Amino acid sequence: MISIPSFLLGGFSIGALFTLLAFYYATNPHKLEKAIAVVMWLASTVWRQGEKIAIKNEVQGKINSFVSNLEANSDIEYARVSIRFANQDSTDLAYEDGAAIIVMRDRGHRNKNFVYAAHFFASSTLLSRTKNHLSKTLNQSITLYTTKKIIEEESVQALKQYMSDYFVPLLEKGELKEIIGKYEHIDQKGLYLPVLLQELSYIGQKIYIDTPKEEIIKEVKLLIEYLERYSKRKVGDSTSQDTFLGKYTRCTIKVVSSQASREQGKTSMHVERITNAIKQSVENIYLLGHVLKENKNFMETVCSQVLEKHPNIVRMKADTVKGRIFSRELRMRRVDTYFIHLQNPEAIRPIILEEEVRQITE
Amino acid sequence: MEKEKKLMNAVHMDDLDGLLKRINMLDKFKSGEVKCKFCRKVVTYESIYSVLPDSGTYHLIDDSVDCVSSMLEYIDGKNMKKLRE
Repeated sequence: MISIPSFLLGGFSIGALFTLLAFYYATNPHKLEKAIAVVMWLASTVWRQGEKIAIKNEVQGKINSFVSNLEANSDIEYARVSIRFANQDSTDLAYEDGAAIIVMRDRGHRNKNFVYAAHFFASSTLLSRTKNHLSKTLNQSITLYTTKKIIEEESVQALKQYMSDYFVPLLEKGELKEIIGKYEHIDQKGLYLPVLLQELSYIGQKIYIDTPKEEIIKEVKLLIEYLERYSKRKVGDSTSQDTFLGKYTRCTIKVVSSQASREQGKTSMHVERITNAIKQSVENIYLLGHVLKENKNFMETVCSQVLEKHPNIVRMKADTVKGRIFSRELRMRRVDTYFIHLQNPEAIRPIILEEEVRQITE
Repeated sequence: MEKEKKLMNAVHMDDLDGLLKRINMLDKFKSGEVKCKFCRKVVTYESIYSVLPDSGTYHLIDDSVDCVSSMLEYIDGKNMKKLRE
């Protein structure tokens, strides 16, 4: 029998482990940033310069981790953040007009650094194209709420600081309170990031008119109201409007979770409802249902039948989102929801000229 | 595939004096003469949020929620103007 010398086996194991780690970090760079941050925080106790590397990687790792999770529920690619520290004597000074230089503090202010950076990132990067079409209140409220989402996913301690320093003081001013309340309802259903933020990103991608339009603002407000109403619906309520047909955005949410039809394998009713939405030129179809294995399989069957019937429809993403539902007795339950996003490319119309807006309007 | 990266400029507190010296603001800053662009309060080491390059000059921004919001709105306005040009 051939025996493998133990040092070779050990060498192989370390080599394999190294390869695995390299592959893991190459595919999850934000996790590498977080790991570097941990090491550099330790190193910074004896090497002062290590602190900057630690701050850079910690903040980048947390924000980029959020962006990566955001993309898991979306087909939109969002930019990552890369922090550039001014060097010691600032001889690299060549800052673009309006490119703010954020002041980062030492290890005693790690939460503050993250809060500053997350808030700045949410404002300047996410939805940067859509913001040109929205009102001040909409922009401010979306930045505020999305920052809260970034921070709550990544750091509970930083969330406390953010809530007391930014969120609550701005909310107390009154005008944002109402709209943030709507986001809260939408988010409880798990629809804030994968539906609202995504639909807003689409608006930025397809509208090229450079002046803010009252109509777009009005429509975004209606979209938010529709999603809020939908989020507040009780289990089994089939009277709530499940489709939003605007001039700039057209989407529908279809619940595929009826126990009776699932147990009997009756997919036709669901396929028909989705077909009707496709006929109405709905751009994005979001299928929601219980994450239970039987239901996921049922939703996948409905989805494949739709794709077979309508080969032009594209399956964009499928994932599990965390949400809460209200029973008929108005009791709230936490549930994970299985989420499939279908897109109808033929219904998407880039809007470049004002006359195209009129054509859609007429 | 490499993802698009958006640069965020930052300065560590240890290097802030170097930056302020470079933009000829250090002496005034230390003597409490530099005010926030938005609230006009004196900006200190404790309250500084950002250094904002603006039309060939530099402004300091206070870390109060109103000033941070005003700065973000100001940058949005600038970006929108750039897009239109």
